[in-house]
Amino acid sequence: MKHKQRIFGDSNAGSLDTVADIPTPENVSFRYELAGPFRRLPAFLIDFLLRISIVLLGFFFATITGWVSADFAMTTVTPLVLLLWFALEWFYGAILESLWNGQTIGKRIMRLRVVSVDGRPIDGMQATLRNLLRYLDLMPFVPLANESGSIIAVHTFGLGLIATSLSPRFQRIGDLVAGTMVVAESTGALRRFALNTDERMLEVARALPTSLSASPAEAKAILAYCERHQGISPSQRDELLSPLARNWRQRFSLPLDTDSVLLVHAMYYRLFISDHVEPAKTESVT
Amino acid sequence: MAKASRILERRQQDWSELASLCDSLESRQSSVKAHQRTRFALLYRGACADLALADRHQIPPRTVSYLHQLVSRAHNQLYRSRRFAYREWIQKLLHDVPFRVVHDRCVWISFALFWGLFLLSGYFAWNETIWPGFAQSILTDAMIDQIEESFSSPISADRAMANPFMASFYFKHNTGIGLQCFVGGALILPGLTIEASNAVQLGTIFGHMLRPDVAARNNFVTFVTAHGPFELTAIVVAAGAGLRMGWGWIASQGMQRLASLRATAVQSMPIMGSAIVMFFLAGMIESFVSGSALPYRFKLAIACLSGLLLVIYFFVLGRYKRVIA
Repeated sequence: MKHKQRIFGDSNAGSLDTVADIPTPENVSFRYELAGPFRRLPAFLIDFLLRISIVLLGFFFATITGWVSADFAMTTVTPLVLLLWFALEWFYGAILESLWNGQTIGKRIMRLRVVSVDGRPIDGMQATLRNLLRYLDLMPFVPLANESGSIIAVHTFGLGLIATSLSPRFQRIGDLVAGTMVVAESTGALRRFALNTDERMLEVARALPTSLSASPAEAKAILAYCERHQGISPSQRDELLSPLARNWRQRFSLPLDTDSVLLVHAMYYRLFISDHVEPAKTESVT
Repeated sequence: MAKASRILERRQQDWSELASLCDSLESRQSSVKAHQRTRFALLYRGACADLALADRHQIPPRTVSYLHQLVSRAHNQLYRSRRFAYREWIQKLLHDVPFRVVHDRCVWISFALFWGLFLLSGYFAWNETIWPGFAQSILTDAMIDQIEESFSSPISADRAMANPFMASFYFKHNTGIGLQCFVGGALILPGLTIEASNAVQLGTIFGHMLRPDVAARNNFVTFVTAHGPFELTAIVVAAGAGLRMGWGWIASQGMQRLASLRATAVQSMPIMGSAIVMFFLAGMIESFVSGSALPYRFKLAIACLSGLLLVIYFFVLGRYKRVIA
């Protein structure tokens, strides 16, 4: 816990169940964003529809060849389609995930990936195990009898849902046995430092001492506030910042009526953007 | 110390280069040239270092989470999945699996369960006085009629089912059942239930069809003899492997429960692999031999031969534990 805090400075990261921390050989620990059952459902449905349509296409093709030569369709095409069906039914995920570094077509589209719980890539054995064991996750099967008396088993995904919500890394039974987890590979954009050059703020920034320093905790608070200040209402801003600002006004012997919000922005500017503040333009004074 | 915004300005070019390399590695691997790959490794290490020093350089939280995403993406491209080791698997199938199967109590439990229920329900179905209507209550009248109907005429040349279609159908259907037994075994009860229900159904069909008053009796025997040994053994082995996997969950042998389940799952996978091979052989025999118009003597010989092969496989190859070099 201590270690994590030192690296991320974010004490909450360890207690959330939507992230997994992975220490790497490069001596850094990074965070994976875990994918829960409902984030994985679209990928599963894409794969499912794809498998079904391949099999249907196969039978369609067999029917067409059947018009040309019934014998050929029966002895060659249909058996191949049946074998393909079997392979897709049980080994679709296993084959694709071991070839494509933990991704099936659906996972690729939805930007998900299967990795080992220790962050390493999965091997063929893990891919096979987790995909075979999906059959268990689909249980319990609810039997629905149709009119002719034959029974259709509806796959409820009940065990899988229970397992994903109880396990620490959103793992279903197959994941637990194979030692894998599904992570989301999101590609967020890099945000730059916002450059606020309000003249009133710059005035405060000029009044701050030349050799300005802030404790790590203060710096963190300033960064966290300035990234999110747009979502905070003015009265709340004042309430949040006034204890900090009071402290700084005293320390830097600033006028007592210095605005708290401007002061924090000025600190942000001086600490993270530039030590040097342009001198005030004479025109604006007159 | 440099200002955080300077550091970001300096580093973000590298980061976006790494991100675009990740993009091209994710979409088309072969398009990435060798010098780009070495550059990728360099940039990855750089991003790792940035992440490690993020706190010291006072990098804003959102940039830190951007770095986390970037490093995890690059990590997934740098360390890639290992394929299935085919040669190792053949070694395992020939040396490791027979020994495991013969010396595994779970396989014997599965054997006893399957054959016990098979013989018992077969006897009930055969002998009408002990439990009248047993076969009808297990199978329903419609199903019995259908089975009797399908064996009503002898398997002659013009009605022969010896074709790849039936082979693939049998393989798909039976291996599906075997895999269900195996996978269900991870939670023990589902596996045992699937195995037991199959044993009872098969036993009842056998018992009923072997009754002296059933006309299709001879045709039935002619059909089932040849592929019986492989198919029935495969089901027993598959369910036994599943039970072994699930047992790892109960008897953890000093490990954490989940770690133990993981270890036994990896051990029992090759056993399931051998069951799939047996299902495949059974499917081939079922369609090309059982379903053909070959004389019964020949089919019986095939049955004896496959039984002999199984005995050699399990009891000769599996007699001693070999050390795989």
